[in-house]
Amino acid sequence: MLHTAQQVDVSRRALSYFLMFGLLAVAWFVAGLPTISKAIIADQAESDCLTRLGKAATRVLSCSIDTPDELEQLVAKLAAEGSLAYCAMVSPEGRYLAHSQANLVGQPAPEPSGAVAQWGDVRRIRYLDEDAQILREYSTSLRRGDKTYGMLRMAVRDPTILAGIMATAEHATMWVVGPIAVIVAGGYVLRRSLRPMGKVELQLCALAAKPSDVPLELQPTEGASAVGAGWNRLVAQLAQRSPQPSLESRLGHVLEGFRQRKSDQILNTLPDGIAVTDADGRITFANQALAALLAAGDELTGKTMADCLELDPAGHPDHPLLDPELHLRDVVAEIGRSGDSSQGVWRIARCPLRGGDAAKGQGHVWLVRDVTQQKLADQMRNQFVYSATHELRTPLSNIKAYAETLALSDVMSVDQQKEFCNIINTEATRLARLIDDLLSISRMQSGSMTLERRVTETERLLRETIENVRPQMTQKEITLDAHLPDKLPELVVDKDKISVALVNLLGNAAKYTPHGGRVILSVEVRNGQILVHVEDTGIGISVEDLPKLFDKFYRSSDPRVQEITGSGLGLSLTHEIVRLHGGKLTVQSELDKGSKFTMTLPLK
Amino acid sequence: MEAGKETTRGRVLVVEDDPALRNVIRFNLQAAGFEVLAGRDGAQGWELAQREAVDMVVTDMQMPSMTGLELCQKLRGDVRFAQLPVLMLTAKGLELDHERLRAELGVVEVMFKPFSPKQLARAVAQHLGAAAGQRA
Repeated sequence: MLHTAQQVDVSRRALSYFLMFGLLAVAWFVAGLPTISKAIIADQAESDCLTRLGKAATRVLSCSIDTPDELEQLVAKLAAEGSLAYCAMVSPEGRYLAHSQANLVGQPAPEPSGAVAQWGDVRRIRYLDEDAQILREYSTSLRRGDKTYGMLRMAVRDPTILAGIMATAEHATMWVVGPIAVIVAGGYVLRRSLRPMGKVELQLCALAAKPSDVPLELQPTEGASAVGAGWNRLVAQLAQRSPQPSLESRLGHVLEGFRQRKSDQILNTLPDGIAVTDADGRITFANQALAALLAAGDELTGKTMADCLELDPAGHPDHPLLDPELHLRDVVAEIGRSGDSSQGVWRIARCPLRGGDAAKGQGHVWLVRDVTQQKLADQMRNQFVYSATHELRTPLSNIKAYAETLALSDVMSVDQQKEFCNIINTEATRLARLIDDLLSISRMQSGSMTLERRVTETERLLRETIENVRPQMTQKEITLDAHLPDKLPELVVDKDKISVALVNLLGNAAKYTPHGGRVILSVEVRNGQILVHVEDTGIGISVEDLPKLFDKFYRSSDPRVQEITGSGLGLSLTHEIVRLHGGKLTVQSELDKGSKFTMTLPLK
Repeated sequence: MEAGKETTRGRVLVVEDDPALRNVIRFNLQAAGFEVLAGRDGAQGWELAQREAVDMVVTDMQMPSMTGLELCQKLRGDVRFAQLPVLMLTAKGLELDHERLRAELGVVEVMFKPFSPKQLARAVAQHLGAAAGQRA
């Protein structure tokens, strides 16, 4: 039930009820008091009267009943002493022998009619007299021995209500003021303790009266009660929350922030550079990878991607990323950093964000990836394929040329025919070896190359290797010095593979040493190892090339090396073979002076 | 470098680094009636071209010390050899720009390895005939 705003609060209501009932109780109590007082007074009077009656009887008997004057005086005295209505002595014949009202002496004494109570000889009659006063008459018969002298009668007026009130009024302070004071004090305490509740109730009722979409306006209460403190806390918390938007939007806000932070974290873990630009091309977000790629420790936000990538129409005419026609399309382009692919190639993918201005779009997402390594690997692979096909074509051309010449020529001596057949045979062998190399490389790449170790005579292995490369040396008039110790220990190795490795080293020495140079093959045995040195007076290897020397497909960009055909696999293969044997391949070199390769193999 | 037969249809300079291939080309061209001079690389070829009068050059592309391309450039840089027909042999495939070779270096024909020696002899004969016709 809704109440009006002017409603009396609970503390006042409780107080008023308390006072009303409390005072009602006091009034009731006070109203009852005169009656009680009257009864008490009557009782007192009665017992007083009975005592007096007894005493009077004794006194009457002790004095001479027969002396009327004396009796007359005694009766008057008794009436005066006991504030009696009257006192009388009635003869057995029913006449007044004496009476406090002297004019009645000698008159017949009527028996009053009323409620009778009898205690032994004593009788009480309560009756209404002529003046409409309630009288109580106590009578007893006076006897001495067998002689009856008559009846002694004493009457008292019944106390009136006024007498009760009068008796009560004497103690009014005690009966009335005390309880009222207690009730008022209780009311004060009650009101005091209920006051905060009252304020809370008033506000809640006011709240209930308002429509539900009206913002709450709650006031804190003063006072130190627990209810007040609880209410104040409630109000404070509501006040904190009430200016916030709805729960849904707050939740959405929190989740949005969480998502934002989460996706930023995710983007920052990616190895590719990622940037988001707005409609004006300014960066609004760039991940850490992009900052690292651009070597930009400072803030990227606000710059344009074209500036960051050093893209300008002058330096990059017709670059798709600068083409306004492609502004709203997905673009993938590559740019060389510092205009030199050896310094790095970046692949840049740009996607427009849909929506916003139709002409400008909403901005772009950029993905920048450093593809330098990929490009280098591609280059190496292309070079390998090119070199491999070239290497394969050379012996194949010879075989085809000789075979066709043999078949079609009719002017040829038998010796010449034999020579041609031998050449075809040699070229076929060369082709087969090349294919073996390619297979070895392929196995090496897949990690499935295995060794077939056998006890091998080291000197014989070395001599065979020398014979293998001697034609190459002779052709370029290169001197080959072999310094082999007298007694070489045996090796337990895969002879074919070690032979390939040694041929590669000596073959390289021949290939990269100019006409008339010198190649020295020397062998040392020490510390349980055999060291094979191949030293040449060739073109040498630059400091830049040395670390990549054993990489697959790697060939120096030195034009002198480029002139010479090669797959870029020889040293890679050799290095792998030596490694599989538990040895190592090292190189010392000086550009334009020569190189020294050392193959170290364990003896056991 | 002995002379061929007594009646030669022309003098051909063969420049090829692979000795086996060089020999078989020489054999075939001689059998077809040409006088053959042979060099093992561009440098030697250039030397021979300057020293000896040649009617046509057959050169490999990739060779040590001086490539076929460099030899071509050197020949075209010299007035004496401006009209000299050059036939190029190569193990390279599609990456070679024929048009550029023809237009800038005057290479009359490109043959890819492995090639037929008979076809080579026929091509040499054809281009020598054309050159002779031009001169006449």
